[in-house]
Amino acid sequence: MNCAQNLEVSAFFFPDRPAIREAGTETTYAQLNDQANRIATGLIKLGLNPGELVGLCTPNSGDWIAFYFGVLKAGAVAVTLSGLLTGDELRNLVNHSRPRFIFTVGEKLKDLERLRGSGGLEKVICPAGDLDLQRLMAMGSGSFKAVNRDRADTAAVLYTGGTTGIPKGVLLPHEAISFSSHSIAYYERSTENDVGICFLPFNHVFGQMHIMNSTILSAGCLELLPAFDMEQALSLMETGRVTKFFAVPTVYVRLLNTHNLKNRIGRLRYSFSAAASMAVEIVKQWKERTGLTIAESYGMTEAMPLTYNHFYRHVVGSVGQTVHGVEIQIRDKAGNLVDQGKEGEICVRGRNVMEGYLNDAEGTRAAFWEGGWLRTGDIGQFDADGYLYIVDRLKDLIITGGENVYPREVEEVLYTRSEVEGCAVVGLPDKEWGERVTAFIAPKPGQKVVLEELKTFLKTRLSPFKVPKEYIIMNELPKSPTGKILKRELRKRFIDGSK
Amino acid sequence: MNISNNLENAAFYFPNRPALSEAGKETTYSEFNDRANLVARGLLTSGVKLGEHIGLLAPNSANWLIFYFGVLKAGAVAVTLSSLLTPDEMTLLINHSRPRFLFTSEEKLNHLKKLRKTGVLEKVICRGGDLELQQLMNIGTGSFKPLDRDRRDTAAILYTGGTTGTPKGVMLSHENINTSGHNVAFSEHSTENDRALSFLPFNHVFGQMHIMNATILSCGCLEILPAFDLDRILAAMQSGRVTKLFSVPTVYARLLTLEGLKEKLGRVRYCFSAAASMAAEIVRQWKERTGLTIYEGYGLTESASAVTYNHYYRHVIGSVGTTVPGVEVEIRDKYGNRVRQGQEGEICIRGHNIMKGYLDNPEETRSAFWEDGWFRSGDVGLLDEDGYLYIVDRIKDMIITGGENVYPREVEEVLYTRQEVEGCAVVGVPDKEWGERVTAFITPKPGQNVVPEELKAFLKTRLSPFKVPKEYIVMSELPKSPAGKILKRELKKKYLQQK
Repeated sequence: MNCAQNLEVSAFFFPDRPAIREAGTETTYAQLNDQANRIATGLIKLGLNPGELVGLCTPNSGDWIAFYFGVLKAGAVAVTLSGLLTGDELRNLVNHSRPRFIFTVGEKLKDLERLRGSGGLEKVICPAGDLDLQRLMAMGSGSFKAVNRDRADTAAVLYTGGTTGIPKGVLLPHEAISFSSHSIAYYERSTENDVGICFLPFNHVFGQMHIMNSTILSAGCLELLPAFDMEQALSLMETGRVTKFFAVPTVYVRLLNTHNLKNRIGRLRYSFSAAASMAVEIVKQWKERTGLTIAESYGMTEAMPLTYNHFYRHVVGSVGQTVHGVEIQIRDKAGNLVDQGKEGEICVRGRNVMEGYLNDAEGTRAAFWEGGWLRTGDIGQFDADGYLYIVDRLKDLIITGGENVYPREVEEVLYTRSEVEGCAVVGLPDKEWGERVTAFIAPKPGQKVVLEELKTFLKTRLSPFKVPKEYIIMNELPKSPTGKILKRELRKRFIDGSK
Repeated sequence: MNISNNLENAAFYFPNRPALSEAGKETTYSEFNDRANLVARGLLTSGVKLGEHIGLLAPNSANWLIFYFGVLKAGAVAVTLSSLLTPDEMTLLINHSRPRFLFTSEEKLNHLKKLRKTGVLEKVICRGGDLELQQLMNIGTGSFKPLDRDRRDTAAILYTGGTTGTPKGVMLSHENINTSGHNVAFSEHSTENDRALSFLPFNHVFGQMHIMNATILSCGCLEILPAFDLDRILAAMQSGRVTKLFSVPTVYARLLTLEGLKEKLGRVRYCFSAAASMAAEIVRQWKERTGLTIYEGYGLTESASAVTYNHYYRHVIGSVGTTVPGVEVEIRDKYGNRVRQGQEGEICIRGHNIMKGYLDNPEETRSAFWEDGWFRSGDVGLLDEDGYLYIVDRIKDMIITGGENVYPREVEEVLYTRQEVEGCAVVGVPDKEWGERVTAFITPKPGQNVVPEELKAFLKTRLSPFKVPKEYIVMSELPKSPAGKILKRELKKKYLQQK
């Protein structure tokens, strides 16, 4: 089993259909497969062996995809690093994963030079590097079949868990990637006629698995943007060639500010959100404005999608039902199952779950309960129909005066206000309360947030201890490359600022 | 994980859509689910425990399905036995599987009563039995959710491979069945608008997994017939309700003898064949006459049905297609080594669709697997360079004549190109001189004549001399299993008795 066979199969069935469209240029499946074959055979000529690690550290591009499949076809492991990494962050992760070769861009060359000198890195593949992609491909041959791997062999390593602390490199086997790509294609009824817009980074599970791998599997086309640019995305959709839209909640919020939204999205048939919790209010407004449901999934790097909400019956506010073949249990702190309908930690088992963390036996042990159940660190509950509701991140929980406050509940109420574009509720250290509930708010363009009004409103909707004691207005909230609001960052900035 | 959740979900999404249609009477998903719940409650109230065996020994009917899902919901194991078993076979299989309760039909009662006296059966459920289905359902009240089972727990036991020696009861787990159901629905692009003709027996893997469980999973409707009956099949298709025709090669051959075939198919959009090898000639003729492709799959009871599928995107006549998601095929020699691509060998399979083993038969279980966990199918096949699998023949059907290997299938394929041949089977019968003598059994098309000398002269132009049958036996009908497979063993036996 090699999950790169998905590309081979699509190239066999649909050699002449477009696989990638990037800045107006199309690459067909036959061409993409040919490029990946050249890269695979080129890498093998450089001495690459099955199971060895090869890094990718560039922004999204057609070349990224060709290189990724080249690495997998050669039987090697793709270590996919954020294209935004520089300096120490980049060096830390390269040191941690120790890829033999790395595919990157010219600007990173200086950062990587020192590592190469110390023997940690054999070759840097980029313009002006040890060799560039063109030369590598020229060494190889277009006819090649993916090297057979065991289903349990690692195919890709994705880093998660932010930029502080010990980096966690999630090991995803061929079977997990294949399983999840199929689940997604099945639930989204993906076909070769679909064109998915992709501006989410390929180093992230959402971009790499949900969007990229599952589109390649179903022989659809990826419309690539280097990053989210609202005007560019809208003008692509307006041409009518995009059928699937994948984004995170903050992007949907921004799009809702667009006039005449329905006409601007063209032939879009499907919209999907993941990676952060979606406020009910946004789903409702989107449906009103575009007629489309925002399908949702709950997932994480360690297990890809766990749930899906939903082709047949979409329940606003839930993340949907467990995907086929995956099992979810809600457990208490001691690892015991809670009663149906009760809150607890979401635990998951299935062929979608990671092997563990790279070079981190302890972290891997701590991530699982006995019997292969992965602990997600998220709190959730099931309703009677098997729909999962995410209460919050375990680690985002605020404890104030001995009471538990789930930030998400407060944020949901804030999002019902027309003047709020984005918000994040966090707990800040407080002598009296232990943690003080604090709201960071970005207003909509041209709108004003009146604190007294907001507070009065929240008091009518929430228990007193949940109502934020402090409100901080910002032009923009700090976000990760995938659009998640960085609460840790907010907390840090505020605490540093108030010192 | 419990595969009866598939019914639960279908009833949740589409409570008012028809799930079952039998003799003009429809049952909606919500009715179906409610009744299965009553059966589950009734069984639990009667003392049935998790993992206990409950038998089904009846022809296809809506009640069969209600009972089956009731058993699964209660967390018990469904032992599905053919309703055509002779009394001796019944005794053998019931003694082997030891079901606590048995759902059956009245005409079996006498024999089962005798059997019960020996202490193997606690309750026989049928009209006039210890309990009638309706009574069992009356015991149970209230709503019910399927009991949770481990993915490795057995869900169903299906008997395979004749009745000599220790019976082979294939234990299929919840994950096995779920994997296959999902793969079938994915490959066939099944939706809630499909209606599947279901005359193949539910005790057989084709009827139970490929047709029934995959249809329930995709929320379609089953048009149920108790057995093969050409007039009733035609009536069902002509009513325009059926969209999917599931059948076996012998039935396709029979349908091809009808005038006005295309009109007789009504709204059928999809045709599928499995359970026995399909002659390329029949596929060609069917396409010519109806415009429809006969899709094919390769699978066994031990693989919970689908291993390969031929194919939604590219159908290759003569092949059984490419592997379904998550399932791997290797061609191995008799020592268990992989042969080179394109070479013949035994088809070996790995995936989460492969059975746990044979019930109480460790010896057969051991010999069914290679040490590394790959299942041995006992079929000879080869993979072409595009990954399409070709079945050469059953290892045990191979004829050795004068030291030469003859695969009966090759000879049968040539016989099927003759327009006077409706059905045929080539077997080896004991011969002093040759070891085995290649012998052809043939049924002519209605109103046509088979002239052995003519046939032999024709075969000589197409086959090596040692492959040409030495003897030709014309019959009005070939003996078939309930699933429509030609029983070669039976043919050989009858032939030898007559000599």
